[in-house]
Amino acid sequence: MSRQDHIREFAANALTEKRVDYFIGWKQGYNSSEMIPAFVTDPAEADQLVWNPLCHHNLVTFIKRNMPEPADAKVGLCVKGCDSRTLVALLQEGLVDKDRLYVVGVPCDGIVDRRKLEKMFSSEITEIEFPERGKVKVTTRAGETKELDQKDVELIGCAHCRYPNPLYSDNTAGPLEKEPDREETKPDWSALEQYESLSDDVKQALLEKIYATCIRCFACIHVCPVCVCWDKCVNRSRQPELVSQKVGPKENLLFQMVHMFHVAGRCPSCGACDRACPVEIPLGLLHAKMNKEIYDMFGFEPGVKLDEKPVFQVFDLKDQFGD
Amino acid sequence: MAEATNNQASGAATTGAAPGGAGAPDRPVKVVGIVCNWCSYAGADTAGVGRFKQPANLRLIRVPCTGRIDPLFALKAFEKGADGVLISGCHPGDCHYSEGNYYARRKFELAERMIHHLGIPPERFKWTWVSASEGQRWQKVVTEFVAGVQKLGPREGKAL
Amino acid sequence: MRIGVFVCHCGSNIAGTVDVAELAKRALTLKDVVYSDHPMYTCSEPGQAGIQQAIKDKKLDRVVVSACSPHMHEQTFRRTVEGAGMNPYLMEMANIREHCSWIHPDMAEGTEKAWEIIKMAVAKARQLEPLYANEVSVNKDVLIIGGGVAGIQAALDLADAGLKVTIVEKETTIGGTMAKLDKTFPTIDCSACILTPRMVDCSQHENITLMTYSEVEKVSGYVGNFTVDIRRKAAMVDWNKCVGCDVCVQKCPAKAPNLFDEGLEPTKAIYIPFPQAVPKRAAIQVDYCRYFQTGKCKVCERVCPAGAIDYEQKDTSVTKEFGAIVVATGLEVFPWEEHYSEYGGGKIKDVISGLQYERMLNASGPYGGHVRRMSDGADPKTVVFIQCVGSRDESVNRPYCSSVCCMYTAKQALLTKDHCGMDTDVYVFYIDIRATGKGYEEFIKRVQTEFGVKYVRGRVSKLYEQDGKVMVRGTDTLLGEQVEIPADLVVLASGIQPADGAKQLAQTLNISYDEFGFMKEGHPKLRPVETNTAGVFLAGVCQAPKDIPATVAQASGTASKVIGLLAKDKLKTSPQIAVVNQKNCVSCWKCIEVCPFSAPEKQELRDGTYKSHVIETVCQGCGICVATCPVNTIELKGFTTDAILDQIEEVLQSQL
Repeated sequence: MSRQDHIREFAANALTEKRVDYFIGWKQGYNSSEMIPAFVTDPAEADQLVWNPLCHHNLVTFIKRNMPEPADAKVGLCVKGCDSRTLVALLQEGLVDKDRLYVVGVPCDGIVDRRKLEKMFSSEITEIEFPERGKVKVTTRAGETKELDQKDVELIGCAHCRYPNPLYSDNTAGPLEKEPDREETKPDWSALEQYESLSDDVKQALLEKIYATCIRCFACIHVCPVCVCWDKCVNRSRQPELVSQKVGPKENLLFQMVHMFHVAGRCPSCGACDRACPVEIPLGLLHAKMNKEIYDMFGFEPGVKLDEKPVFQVFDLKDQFGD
Repeated sequence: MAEATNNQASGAATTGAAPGGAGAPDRPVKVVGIVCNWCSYAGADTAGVGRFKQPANLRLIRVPCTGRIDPLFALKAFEKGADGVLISGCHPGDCHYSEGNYYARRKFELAERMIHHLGIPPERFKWTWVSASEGQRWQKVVTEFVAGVQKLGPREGKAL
Repeated sequence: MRIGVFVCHCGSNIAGTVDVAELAKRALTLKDVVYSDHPMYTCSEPGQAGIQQAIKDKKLDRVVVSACSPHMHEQTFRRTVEGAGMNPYLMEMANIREHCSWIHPDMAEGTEKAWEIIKMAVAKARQLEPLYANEVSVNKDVLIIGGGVAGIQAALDLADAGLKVTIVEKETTIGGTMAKLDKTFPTIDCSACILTPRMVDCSQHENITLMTYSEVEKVSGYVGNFTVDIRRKAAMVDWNKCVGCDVCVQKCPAKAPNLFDEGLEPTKAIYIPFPQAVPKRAAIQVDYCRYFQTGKCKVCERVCPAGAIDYEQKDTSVTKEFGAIVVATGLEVFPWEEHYSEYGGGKIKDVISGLQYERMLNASGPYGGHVRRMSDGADPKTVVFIQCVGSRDESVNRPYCSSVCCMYTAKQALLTKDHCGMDTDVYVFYIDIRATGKGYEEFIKRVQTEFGVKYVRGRVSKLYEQDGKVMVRGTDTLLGEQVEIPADLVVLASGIQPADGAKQLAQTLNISYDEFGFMKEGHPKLRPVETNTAGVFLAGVCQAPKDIPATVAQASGTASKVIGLLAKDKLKTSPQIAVVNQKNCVSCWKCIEVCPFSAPEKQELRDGTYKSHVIETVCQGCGICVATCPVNTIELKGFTTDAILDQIEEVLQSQL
């Protein structure tokens, strides 16, 4: 029984048994190269749910803070390992009600970076298939077909994933994936090395170039599963006006830093913002850096243990910062 | 070192003659300080009462507690063109509100690291503790920090 | 908006290095500023009247006083503008004295910086809004921490004024350091004779509750409404039954160090510190008790006629409510043994501290007032006193003057002549003689002339033993000669420092202290007994070294301040507190998590949703929640985010 079959069965049962009012999973978009979130209310529709390495959406985004309408709805959803950490982060703060959730954990061996694929082909991708585990077969509108190793086209965070299996779930879709030895190994932040080696002036010049392209569409913030301010975001506020409404690289970077500080200690770098950005600002690197420093400061990984509190909402008398 | 500091201090003398010289490399640097009311603001008062000379590049903003300081204020100051940002409060254990500086030090430490990540040299951002009785320590902190910032010169960062 | 700017000369304090007239002129160019002036002394009566007149004549709705630190005169000028009918929180101060004129000697530099400070203050003033104080009811009970002469005096003054007082003392008896002294300078009256009646008064006063052998564990709340957890240590003796008959002490077979006698001779594991103890109750030092160490003995239980011994006793905690707290934790002797190896580091028996000598002189001390050598018990023929041991000595990090040692040394020198005979040789090595109190200088002169005590100006460089004597090697700086005196007994005028645990207590109370642990007064001259935490007051050596007259005077001063505070039935609370704009609250409750005072609460709205709400009387105005709120929908009145951002922008206006 495939993971996809498990998901369909769990969803259909939960809906039939009225354990949930609706179930959130993934389904195929306009063609087989694109997966989109699916909201299923009828058990008969559960067979539209799919699971494959294109299911990148972090569905926790749809339940963050309070449940969607109606207020007392019971919701089922699928979470990958990385997604589950954002759910744990919300649970740590009591921002979602565990009793109204039914969580299907989906062990994951890596998600394909569709943007990376797009850049490899001159024509539009019309079909993506997974002939066997670890292989990706791409077909374009021009008729070109190519088989690739999944590892070569994965999201940046998947390469050194420490949590392939969900940390919080009611049921698990199939057997667990092999996990790295987390006691022995530290998180890997080698993706940051290139940027970190730059001089201050080069960093500034690079950031200016990158952030000049930001159009302040708020996609990064809306898609963020741990950002719970919704339409009240301080980035929109005129009183106080922390971020000027003027648009420029400085203002745009400050805009992004507001988001960063507000999710510090709660963001497990799920990458949702990175994938949502229409102008491809590498937001994931900013959050990875933040998590690298938080790990260095506290040995803390956000969204891992239910009984922990995000590090900036608590303190320890033994903290060794400052002089 | 003391001599260099003096040179920096006198070189930092604002003449008021060159508002158009903003951004010019020889402009005296401007440092924004955000301090808590009970310890560091009072420590700066103590330094004043003791007539402990300091470079004139610092502009202080008084808040009740370092716990009230959003690290984004520092980033905002950099966005607005500050050459340096100094944050100071009560020593750990001495917070007037018992816990404010414990929360603050975690945030400031992250802010310091992220500010450097954005290509702003670490010499331009400092957070520390100065108590109400430490007038001399205040003088030392301000003098050394301003000297460090002046050495780097005015900031012409494009991003923040 | 109509802002008035007043740039104070402060005589030449500001005007000496800042061109105040120029700044007053320039201020008029700022947006919304409609009036400016540069008074000679803005805080003086004509200065304040000038502000009030301008408010009326020019219809000002904001005032910026550009003068000294707000810590100095914010209250003054708030009252000034209030007197002219303006809301007091519409006044903002620009500190161009402590933060400018006093630290920048150059006129051009000082003026430019002052200009920017004024611009920032005007920017902030634009963001000010009228605030109105709340009222809270006041608990009229007073907690006094420390039962020495300071605590006793404050307690009696307060109790006589009709207030209920609780004294918490960590030892089993009140009395403090003064109870250990033999005589007091400069009158040579008996310390116990003047103190013990007051101790008894405390125990008998209907308004005073004594909680000895107890310590303050936790303090929460705020002025008028403190909640204090007090831990009563287990004495292993039921004090309701114990009558202080001393039988247990006489029969106890186990020895223990006698801290009351400064360790001169041991006491028993069960002990009563001294005969006039109040309350006179026995306690067991568990670490030395034979029963607790070996499981066998129980002699005290057998001999106690009252059946008071209770080996099962445990520490107990009580929680009490108070309106004000007086800290009177006193002193301990500087631990000279750890720092002065040149004086033998405590290894030479005939070198003792001043307080040890005090116990030796005391008729109720371990030797019945007989002065003797510690090594062989013989009468000393030559006694040498060394001043400033642990005072005025930066090498041991005690740069301050302990203030009492010159006088107590002179007193002890006189008593030495009295106890051992006028033919005893008495030397005092000193740096300077500080005898500033009433009758003090005359006393020193009497000791030198009438009693023939030889004063040698100079430091002692080394003490060492030779042929049963303590060799005192030093310099007579007046003669420019090396001197060496073979002494029978050497008394070190050991300095004083805050009592053990003073820093922790200060942290518990949220009051400031200096590097030595002396607690910081509100203002060194104008608020000498208050702290910067409203409702917490200081008395005695916990604030700074001082002698008994000064301690008692300060304790009475403190008492009058407490009476003044508690004379009101309601207290006004600061309106500079956090307020939630519930429209934008996303109910994430981070504010509740971080608040040290539990001021924010979940409030149910009419639509059934819950939003954060800050309880006004509980909020202390720290703003931790404000910096934590992700939607910035909590504002700290008086320190709003917009006000801070506007100040930042004002400073950096010319940068871009």
